[in-house]
Amino acid sequence: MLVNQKNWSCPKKQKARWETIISQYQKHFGNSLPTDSQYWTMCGQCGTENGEPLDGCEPSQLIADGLILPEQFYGVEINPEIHVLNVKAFPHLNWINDDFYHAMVVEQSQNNFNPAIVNADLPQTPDGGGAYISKLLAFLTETAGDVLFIANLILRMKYYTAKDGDYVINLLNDYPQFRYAMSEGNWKLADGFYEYNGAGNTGSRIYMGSFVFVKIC
Amino acid sequence: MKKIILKQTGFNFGWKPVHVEPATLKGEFYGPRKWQKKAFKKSHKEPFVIINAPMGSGKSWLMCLLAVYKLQKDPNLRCIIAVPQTIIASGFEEANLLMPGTNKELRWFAQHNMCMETPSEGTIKTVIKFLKGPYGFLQDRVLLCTHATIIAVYKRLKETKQLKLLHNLVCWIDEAHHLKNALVEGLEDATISNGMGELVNYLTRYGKNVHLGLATASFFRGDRLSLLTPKMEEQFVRFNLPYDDYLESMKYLRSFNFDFLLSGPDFIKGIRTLLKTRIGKDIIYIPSPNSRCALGCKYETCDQIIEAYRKVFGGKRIDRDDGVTILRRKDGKELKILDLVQEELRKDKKAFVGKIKDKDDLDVVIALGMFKEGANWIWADRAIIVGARSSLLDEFQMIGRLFRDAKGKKNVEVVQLLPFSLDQTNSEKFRDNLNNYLKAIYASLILENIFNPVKIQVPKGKKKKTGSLPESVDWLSELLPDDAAKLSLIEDVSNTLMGIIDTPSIESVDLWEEYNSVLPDILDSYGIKSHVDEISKQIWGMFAKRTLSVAGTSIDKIDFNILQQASPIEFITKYTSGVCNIDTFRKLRSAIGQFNSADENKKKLLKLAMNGEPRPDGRLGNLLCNYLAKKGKCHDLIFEKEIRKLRPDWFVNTADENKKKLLEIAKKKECRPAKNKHPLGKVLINYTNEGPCYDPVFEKELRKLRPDWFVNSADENKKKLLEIARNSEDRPTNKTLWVTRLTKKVANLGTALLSYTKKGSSYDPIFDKKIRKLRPDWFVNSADENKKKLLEMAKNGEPRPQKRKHPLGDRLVNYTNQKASGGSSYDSVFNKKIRELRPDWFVAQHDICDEKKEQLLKMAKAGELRPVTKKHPLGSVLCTYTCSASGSYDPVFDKKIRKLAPQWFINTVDNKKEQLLKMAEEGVSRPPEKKHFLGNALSSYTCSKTSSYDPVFDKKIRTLRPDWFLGVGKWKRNAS
Repeated sequence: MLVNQKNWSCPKKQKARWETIISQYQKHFGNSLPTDSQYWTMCGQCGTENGEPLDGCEPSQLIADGLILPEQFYGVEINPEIHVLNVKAFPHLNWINDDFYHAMVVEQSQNNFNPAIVNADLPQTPDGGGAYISKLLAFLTETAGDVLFIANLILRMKYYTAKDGDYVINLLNDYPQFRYAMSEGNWKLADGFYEYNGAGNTGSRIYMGSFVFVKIC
Repeated sequence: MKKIILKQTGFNFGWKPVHVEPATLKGEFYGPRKWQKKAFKKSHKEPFVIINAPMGSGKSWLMCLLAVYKLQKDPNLRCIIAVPQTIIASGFEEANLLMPGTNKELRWFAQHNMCMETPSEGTIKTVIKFLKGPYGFLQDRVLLCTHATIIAVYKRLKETKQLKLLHNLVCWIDEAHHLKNALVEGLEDATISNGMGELVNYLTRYGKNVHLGLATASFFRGDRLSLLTPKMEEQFVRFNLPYDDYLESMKYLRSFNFDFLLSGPDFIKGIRTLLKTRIGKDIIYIPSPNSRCALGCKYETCDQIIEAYRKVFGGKRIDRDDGVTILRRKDGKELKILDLVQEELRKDKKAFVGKIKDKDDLDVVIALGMFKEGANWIWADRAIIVGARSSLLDEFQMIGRLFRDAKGKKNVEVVQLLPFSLDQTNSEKFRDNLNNYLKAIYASLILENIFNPVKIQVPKGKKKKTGSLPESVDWLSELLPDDAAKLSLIEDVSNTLMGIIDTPSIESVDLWEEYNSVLPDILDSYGIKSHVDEISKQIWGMFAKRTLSVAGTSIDKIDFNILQQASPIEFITKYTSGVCNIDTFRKLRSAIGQFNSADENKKKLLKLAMNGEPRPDGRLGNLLCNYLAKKGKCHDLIFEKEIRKLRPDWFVNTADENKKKLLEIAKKKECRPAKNKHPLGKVLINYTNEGPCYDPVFEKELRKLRPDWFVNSADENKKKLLEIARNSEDRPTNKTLWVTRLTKKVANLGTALLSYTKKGSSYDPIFDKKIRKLRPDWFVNSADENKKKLLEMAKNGEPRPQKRKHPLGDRLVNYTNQKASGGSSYDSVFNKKIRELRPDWFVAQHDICDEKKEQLLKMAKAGELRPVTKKHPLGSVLCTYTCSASGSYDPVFDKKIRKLAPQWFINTVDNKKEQLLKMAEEGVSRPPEKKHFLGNALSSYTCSKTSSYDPVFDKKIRTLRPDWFLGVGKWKRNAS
């Protein structure tokens, strides 16, 4: 897998994070995470190849905005090369090189899982990632308390016809895991969905969509 | 707190509404049905379970229930359910279970559904990770995958020595008839297993805390090999739900018919005959194009079937976008046909089947290999199976589609359409047809017994039931559960019955006695030593029931005494009455006699010989040759000696005469007698080639005299090719022609090389090896080379090679587009690679089109001149987007651009015609081609072979100026 992916710290991404994570958490729960809870994210690359933090990347932004403390950050990355760069750039944060779902299950099995925010930033379309999102929601239904869950999906890209929020929810409704979560977890979809076009410093043909689910026990 | 403000233009962001509400799990919780309760009771504590129950009976639900029971009981267990195809997985995705005993409600779903997910780490790695754990909650311990996945996982674990991960496992294998574990005859403990068989073998032998379940509607394989070895099978507890019990549990479906129709070679006529009786909710299974009874092209066959429906139902054929064909009548009635044979839109068609909710949504399905296992169309009430199928399993799966309960569906019907008649003179064909016919009849007997078995009351003293009627048992299935073996037994019994009968009017009582005297031996050969009386009655009952049902007698709860009085096998005659107009039974008997009683034939031949009659031709003549052919299977030395002694005149050797003549021809240096042209051509081949007439001495002599007669043009070609190869010349192409030296034939060396080195009828492995060794460069896979070159071009940042302009342009399309050239050259790995390297080479065509349309609109808005075809890059595309006959026609764009620049669309053709007519009227001379701007136009408007030909204008201008068309030239024919 390649390192040096897109610039995840570009203003568009930061704005999207502010709208879908910081602002949403503050609206539903409070200004910052309770100290005993965690922030879980599929974070992507946060450091340069030289091991320096990328300006405005996810941990930097959330810590700088006072939403979380460094020790509350749990960044999961499946690519070992990127994981190494992240560790190098932010040695004081919690980094896990694993599949996102599996990483959470492992932590839960060790009674060390208390998420307040779970950010599933999938590099997948709704059709490709719907099953995974549903699986995460079912898992959080069973294992988490009050939590904000953000599912970020690609809504438009090359060879993929643009999709909207109705399409995504209709698609998720087909998965029994999703319906189970909605039945048993007291989840609510917040404020429609947030759409923005891609990351990077230039215009992008890729459209992303963030769906924010709130679970208040 | 910082608020990020974006001021860049061109970005699109913000909250948008969602109108759809997230759904919740709905539906009531259900406990097990009667049979499921029984099965649960029998198997919930057992580690190895077989559930054998009909399709649609609720096996999947029971499997979920048993899995949950075990998962709840033992927290160390995890569960894998394997299904053969992803579409079957839907049965396990969710269920609302009411647990027996506790009545606790449980929402079942498989948290890890590999049939839906596309894991970033790959499916196999994900399954292995699942097996390693840990787990979050009960449903998190359930994984759903395909047979292929679980087999691959097993292999990976075996390779990496991690098979222990399969301990503590509940494993359910759905559609378990895909398993294979067959013992090798004569070799103890040696088994032939497929991947799934190996996994089951491992789990049953070495698994610790393993719970294995096998579920199927048909616990046998089409190839008659066993699913489990007897040793393995011993470990399993088996629960069978017989079809009759299942039918009883159905709300609407009550009965089942199995019928034959001998339709003659054109089975479409047979289908039409059936449709005239009624148009049901039909599934028509057509034969494979390779089958003897296929009509040729499968697509044409489907069209003919649709046409047959149209002729009977009426209406106009409309092919809908979702792949459904509709026959719409004027009275508004419609018949909806789904042709699953045509691959086009197959995905849409499958989706359509999945969405059927109402009886009227679909009327007919035409299928070939599809719509068997797992397909679910509950309203289907008639299956028309064209041709006898060698696989009972296949037939069983097809018939199984009908056994779904639906409101108003009281009876289902299976018609085996046999596209031949028994009234044929060609003995070989007759024999084949006869075999097919009998095959279908035996299969029907077994199938009928599966659906409605003849049961025999348990004799007194063996099993006792107090206070109720004596229990009836299907002994045959009890002692011979393998249906394929049962089929073989029925075949043997039927042949024996045929042998016993001498005349069609034999009294059944005699036959019954005879039958009882021979049956024990047959049963013994199948390992059945107990309950022989019961089984004998049961098999007789199977035949007799059929006879009575054909005769119209109600066979419900019939007394065995009545069955005993019926004459079995008579039904065979009934099935053909009115179709073939022949006495099938007599014919069958004589046909069986033909092939089974060689002694009878020999007797006839000896009788003819003794009576001084001439040597027979035809069937007996051929049989005589067979009995005398020393290398043949039927050679009978004693008979040969006897008949030669009796009639030496029958054996005057014409061969010696022929050989003499052939040697004379050879000596005269004449050409070799050709096979189909010279009377001695064929015998020459017989005498000089391996076979019953081969004469090595003659061959040697002839070869010495005329070696050129034995030179094969292929040999010459091969020699020549080897010579070219040795001379380091280029590989011959299909334009390299040469004349063979000895046979004087024009040969194409390129094609010849291909045929000798590619598997097929002319393939020569020795030559292939030789030439490849000499010239490996001739066999370098050009596709690999091309792909390398294309990847290099991609890496070097070169522009995409254009189709038809660059030698690799077409290739690139073929390698990266599944639809191009039938998909034969498509390479998914290369496709992925090159698309990753150069996504710009694959910018979607519609994006390019959009850009071009935008440019054209801009030009139109700016009042620019119309871009001219071949002169302006946008000239030709403007035509295609605005011409309604073109495939790229865009009506919206057309309307827009015509509004913006109407001057672009003034018909220049009409203008030109007007000008030409004016010139004609003015008396000027004909505008010459290529010299006058209207010269070419005039020619094309008046030549009937051009696409611009205008007959009205042509007539007009010819009337005005006939002199323009009298000249000698290429348009002279028009003038005449």
